[in-house]
Amino acid sequence: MIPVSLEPRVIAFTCTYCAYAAAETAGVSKLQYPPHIYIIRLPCSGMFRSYYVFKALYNGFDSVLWGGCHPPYDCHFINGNYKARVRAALLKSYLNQLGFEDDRFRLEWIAAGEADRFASIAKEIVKKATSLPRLRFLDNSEVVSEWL
Amino acid sequence: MLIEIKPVTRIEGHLHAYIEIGRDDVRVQLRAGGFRGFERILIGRPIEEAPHIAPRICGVCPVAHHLASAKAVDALLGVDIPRAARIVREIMGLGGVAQSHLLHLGFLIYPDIEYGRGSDAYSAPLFKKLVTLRRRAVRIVDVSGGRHVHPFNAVPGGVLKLFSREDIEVLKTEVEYGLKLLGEVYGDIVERVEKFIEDNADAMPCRGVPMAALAGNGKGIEMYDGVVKVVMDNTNLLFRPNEYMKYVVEESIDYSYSKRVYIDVDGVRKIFRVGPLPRLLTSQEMPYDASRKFYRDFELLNSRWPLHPLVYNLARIVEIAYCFERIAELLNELQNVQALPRTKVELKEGEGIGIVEAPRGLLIHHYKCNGNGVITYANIITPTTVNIPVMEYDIREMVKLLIDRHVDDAENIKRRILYLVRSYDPCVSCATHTIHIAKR
Amino acid sequence: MVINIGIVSLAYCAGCEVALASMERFCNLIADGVVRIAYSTLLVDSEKLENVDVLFVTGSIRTGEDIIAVKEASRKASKIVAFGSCTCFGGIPGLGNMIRREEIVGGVFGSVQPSESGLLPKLAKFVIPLQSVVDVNYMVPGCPPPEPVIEALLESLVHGREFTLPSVSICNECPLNRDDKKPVKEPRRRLLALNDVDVDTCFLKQGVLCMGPATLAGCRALCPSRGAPCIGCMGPLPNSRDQAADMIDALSGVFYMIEPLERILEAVLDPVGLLSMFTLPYSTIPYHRRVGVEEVKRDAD
Repeated sequence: MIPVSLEPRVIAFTCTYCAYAAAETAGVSKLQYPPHIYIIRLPCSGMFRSYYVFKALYNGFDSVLWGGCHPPYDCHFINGNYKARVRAALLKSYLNQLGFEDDRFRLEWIAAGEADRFASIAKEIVKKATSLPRLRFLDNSEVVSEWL
Repeated sequence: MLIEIKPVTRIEGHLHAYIEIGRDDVRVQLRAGGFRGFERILIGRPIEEAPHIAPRICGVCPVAHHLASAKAVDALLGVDIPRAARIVREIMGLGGVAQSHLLHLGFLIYPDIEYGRGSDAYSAPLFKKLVTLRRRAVRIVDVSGGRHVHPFNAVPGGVLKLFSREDIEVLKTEVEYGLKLLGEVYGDIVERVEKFIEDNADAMPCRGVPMAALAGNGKGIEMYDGVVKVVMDNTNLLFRPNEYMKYVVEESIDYSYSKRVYIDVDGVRKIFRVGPLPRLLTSQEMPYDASRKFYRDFELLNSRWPLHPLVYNLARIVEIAYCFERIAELLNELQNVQALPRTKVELKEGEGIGIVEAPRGLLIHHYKCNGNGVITYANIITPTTVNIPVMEYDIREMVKLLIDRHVDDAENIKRRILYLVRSYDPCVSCATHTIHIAKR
Repeated sequence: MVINIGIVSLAYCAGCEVALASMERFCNLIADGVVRIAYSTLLVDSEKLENVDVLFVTGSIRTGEDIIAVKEASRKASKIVAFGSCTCFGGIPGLGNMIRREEIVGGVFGSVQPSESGLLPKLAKFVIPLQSVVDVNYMVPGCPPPEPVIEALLESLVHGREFTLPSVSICNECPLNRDDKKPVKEPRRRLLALNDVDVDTCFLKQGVLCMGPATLAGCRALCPSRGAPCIGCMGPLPNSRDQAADMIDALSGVFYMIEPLERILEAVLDPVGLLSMFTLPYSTIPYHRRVGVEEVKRDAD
């Protein structure tokens, strides 16, 4: 577990050509957005693997943001964002069935020129995450140690 | 004196037997351990997944669970399956019964009947023959069900696939070969089973316990569909599957994860017996050659030791023959039936009950689902759950008899108890599948 | 040299044992004395497990007694085989991880609580895979393990050949996977798809959920080759640890043009049950929030 210095912890997966560009611009233009949000850059939202949403939550992030290009035409790789869209819907349904709060995972379309939109979404997400309880996931070894 | 059998071996599942022999009475507790919670797991699942999940209750009788589950879903959705699909399912069920009985005969009870061998029993030539014979039944379920452990061919509305021409040839060959092998081993097996019964039966009274089985219109044993017939001392009771709640009652006990089941008639609760012995005794006349012949041998044995649990072992052999012969008849019928695998289904809120004859007796699956086709309630009553209280009763009677005869050697008594329990062929994983909402 | 095997059965259904007993090869090995079953409450009379060469474990780890028993048994063998999806991944009983153990048993037996009487094993907090308790030498997935896989295992135990599982998905072996450029049909749930599905054509291409892309090969695509979509019993591929995540990714690749999006949610109406039917305890988040998650105080509070 990465030692926590700022809480709540939010992780944002962003695509290079849209959402990350927006985040960069927001940073460069000194638009205020909270430091609690860790940004990961991938080539395209089509590369956002579902596994990392589960892993991020399991490892202590309070919520996860996916930022991609606006459909229908913005995606640099044509249809990556469409795939992200389907994944996000299924992930939300899965996490919901597992009992997790809706605010723990979110997909947003953020164009390169929408730096202010990025900042406001970031602020909103961190604020919502503050009201979510911090979670600790039981490890399998704790099940075993009850008996051995 | 306290006799503990922990665990009971050569049965399916986890069972501990406690027999307390006091001065005035004998107390018997059969404690079924192991627990997975299927009735709770089914809640929240889509209704069409039930026939996939249900077989995982038991790997020895998965076909029965698969079929009972599919029937319950059909009933819930209000569909009648096409004749061809029904035949495929029946063949699957009969194959499932045959392979389960042969597993019991060839593995579970085998060392007990193969005298003088003990743990070396598996080197006897009869063992290999029984394995080969069982493989025929296994192949029949493979073809009709998709796979013999956890089949999947039965779906809401019918089956996924009917038989191809090659399939029918394979099935006919397997049935022929099976009957031939059965004919070859019958003499040896019956000799061993008869000796086993003669040496261990004693004059144990088993009257007074009602018997229940499916009853249909045709000849022989009804395995797939019909009404439930309960034979009691002075009356018979008939009820349709979807009325079972009126007559079948479950009660929790604190020493076992298996519940106690009763037949309730006008407020009087009685334990009752299911399985091959009740099936044969309540069946109609056997319509096929081999099974008719075997049935006569069974009748003779039963008349010497009426309703004795050990006679279950011979009942199973008759049923194996019946299964193969009935499959042959059904295959012939299939030639003249329209090749429709399933009828159309629609989402529907509702309730459905499916009852089949599993290898060990009556099996009931009961589901409710909401308008979205999601299961909201599941109740499953397995034959072993029904038979465990009867086993306790039988053990008690037997031990009392042995004590009266001054047989107080604990090892001897323990051995007799094991033979008795094994003869019922209990499937304890089936019996402890559950958690069940007691309120109705 | 006789190979002594012990079979320890936990919260099982006996299907894995039956799969073994149905293989003529296995029965011949027993009859010819090459393999001896030294312990199995199903098949032999020994009441106690002594030292064996190979320990087969079947069934899920559901109760405290399961954990204690398998830990003790592991000391009696030099090789441990996790036989079947229940030991490898948790299996279908793993879906019990959606419910708190108190709720599974409590209230349902009415006023009589078997687990409180002290006579019966108590449930563990949630189902866990075998490898969380002991070191596993062979993982043999499948519900039950398919015949080709059991053959390979027997080869390995008897003749020392290396036991390997494939590293590709079911689609690689599936006879329905042909290169026809059929357009993808709309996704719908399996019940309604029964009305018009062609069981000799790829299910996913017809809008029917099939776990093939996220499931390990080895069974020769048994279910699809006989008319049923794969339900994922062989578990995830070896370089993956989350079958549901893989399937979600796969579905996004097939159905990304679906409009409206709700269609895919209607088809996958029970995501946890359908996508991790056998592997919930093996997933990244292996349980429902109320079963395995604690709320803790923030450092800043």
